[in-house]
Amino acid sequence: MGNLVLRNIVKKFNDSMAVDIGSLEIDEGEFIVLLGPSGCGKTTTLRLIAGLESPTEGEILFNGQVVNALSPKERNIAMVFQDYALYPHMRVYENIALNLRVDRVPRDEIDRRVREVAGLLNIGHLLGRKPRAMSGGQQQRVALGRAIVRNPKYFLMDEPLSNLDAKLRLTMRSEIKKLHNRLGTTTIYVTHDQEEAMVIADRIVILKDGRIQQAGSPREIYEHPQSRFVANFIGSPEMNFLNCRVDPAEKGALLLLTGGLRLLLPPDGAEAMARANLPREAILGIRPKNVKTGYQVENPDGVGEVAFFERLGEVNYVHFNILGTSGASLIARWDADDGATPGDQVQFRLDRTRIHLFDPADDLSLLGNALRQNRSAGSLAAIG
Amino acid sequence: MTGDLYALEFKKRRQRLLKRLALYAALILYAFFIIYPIFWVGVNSLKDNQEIFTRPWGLPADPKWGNYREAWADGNIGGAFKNSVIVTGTSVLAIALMAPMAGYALARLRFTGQKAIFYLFLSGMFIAPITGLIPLLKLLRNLGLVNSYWALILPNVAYGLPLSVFIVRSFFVGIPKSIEDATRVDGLSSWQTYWMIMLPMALPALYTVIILQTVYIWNEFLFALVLIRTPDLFTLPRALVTFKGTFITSFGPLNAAVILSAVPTIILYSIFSDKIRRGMSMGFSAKG
Repeated sequence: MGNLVLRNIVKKFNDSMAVDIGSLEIDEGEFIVLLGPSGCGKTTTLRLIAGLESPTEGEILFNGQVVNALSPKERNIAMVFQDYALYPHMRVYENIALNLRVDRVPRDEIDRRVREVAGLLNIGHLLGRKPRAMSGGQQQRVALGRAIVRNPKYFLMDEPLSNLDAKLRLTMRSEIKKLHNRLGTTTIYVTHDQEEAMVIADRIVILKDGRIQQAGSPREIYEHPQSRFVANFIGSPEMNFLNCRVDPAEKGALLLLTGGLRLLLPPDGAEAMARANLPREAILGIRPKNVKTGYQVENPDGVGEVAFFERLGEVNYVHFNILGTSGASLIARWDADDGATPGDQVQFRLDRTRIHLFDPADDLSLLGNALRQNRSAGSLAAIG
Repeated sequence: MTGDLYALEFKKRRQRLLKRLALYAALILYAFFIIYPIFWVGVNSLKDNQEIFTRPWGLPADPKWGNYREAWADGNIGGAFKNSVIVTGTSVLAIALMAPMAGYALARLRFTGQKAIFYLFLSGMFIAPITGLIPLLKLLRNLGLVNSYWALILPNVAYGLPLSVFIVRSFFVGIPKSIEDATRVDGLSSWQTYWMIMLPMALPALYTVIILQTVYIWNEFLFALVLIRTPDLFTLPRALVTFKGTFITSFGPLNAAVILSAVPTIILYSIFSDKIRRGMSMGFSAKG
């Protein structure tokens, strides 16, 4: 059993369902990221764990003990808020020391701990300042300091980086991860930024409409999304989707037709799909990095006309419309040093081992389900 | 083409300049109408009657500083000053204690009848004190409070609270909810949250309330006229009336008394004018 357990948790606000996340177990020392779009219930889930909201149904357990009735203070958690929630009339020292003062910790002990935390976060020189006299990044460190100083059992962080500029966000997220590695405190972190989640998390929990869509390691979620929503939400640029038709006519392999394209699936995957009683219509998904593109490509699947070239420095992406289809388009990574020009014709080939298929009826992954039902290795690499 | 653009730009600039000039002219005129009467009273407080009537607009030829001594000592302005300080100080202290508590509860706590109580407070802002004067007089007489400091303090507090609660409440409404969440995580009790966090954060609103109510209660005349009989308990505005009767022919000391009574409010305004302006806009751009 996990160290922190959410069991059949439901939260309603005036009969309107906010969260119905079922069950989730979090192990000691884990860095969990609750990820999802606005309004998906991730902050509500965090507030339920913090004790700032009470669940309508279900139980929250810390170390096997039900804590539903305990106040935030009694749960021994610390929380970092999106807007930092620093007390503006108090200096940094007082902000960090307040919860120790409330606990009636001796004054010299408070002083020692505040200075220790300030040293850890490099804010020792700011202890005499008020929040308004500090930058966003400095305020963020103070908010972290306030959380760390009480030595809590769990850190709860509600989009702590979303108010920072892009560059500072990168710095702070690595600092938060380093801090977690150093302190080892179980951390539950809320964000809507999938890139941040991928970098920082041990495990990502993806939420949509108050329900868990998928939970797993960043790599697992990226490589084996269980639904089209997850596939679309994770990864930047987002996954390409093409409507296709599954044709079971050929033996040993299934033929996919999408626009003018014909893709032959390798035997293992085809066999798995055949046993899974697949629908005839499906949605093919493939990440931009798995679409090989260039002016000349070996065994191309088709030809596209460049609509837009995206130069990001480290990597470049080309957006093109597939010729011979009615409006089907793809985004692909472009490895050549020279960019492509809108209007150019380029060839492309989809990496068969990295294809995802989703059921248009419920958006769930067909290949994943097929493979699971087939009790195969469960890896798309098997479709090789 | 470029010439047309320059002409257009020049026209726009000229229009902006003219608008600004008109605005300044109107404001200067308005300020003149406000400042000149005070200046005139100040100038005439240093003249005797003869000079006031012969040279009402001129500066005093030989300033009569004795008018101030006469007003302070003979007109009992000193005693009235003390009464005004007691009544204003106690009333404002009571308002400053109660308004933030009520404002906090109405802005942040959830309880049955919360909206009704808030609207009740609001309705208090729309009742002119004079409409309740007779019932108030009867009530205070029954309580045996007429002709005491309480006869002024209690009504002043009652009539001062609605606007004060309104101003402070709107300030509390604007404080992010996460601050209160943070206090809960930090383990503060409701009282500690109010006393250690919310009240200090609401100090700008509280200063505004204190200044507004001080000025209002310091100048309050109606209650002082009807509810106080003994000259020893007269506040400054009430004492000025008596003063005028006693020194009907001595306009110099009368003007000196007016200036003396206005000095505290003028000082208050000069020091805190910025806070008053912000407070007024805070109150009237309040969130519901």
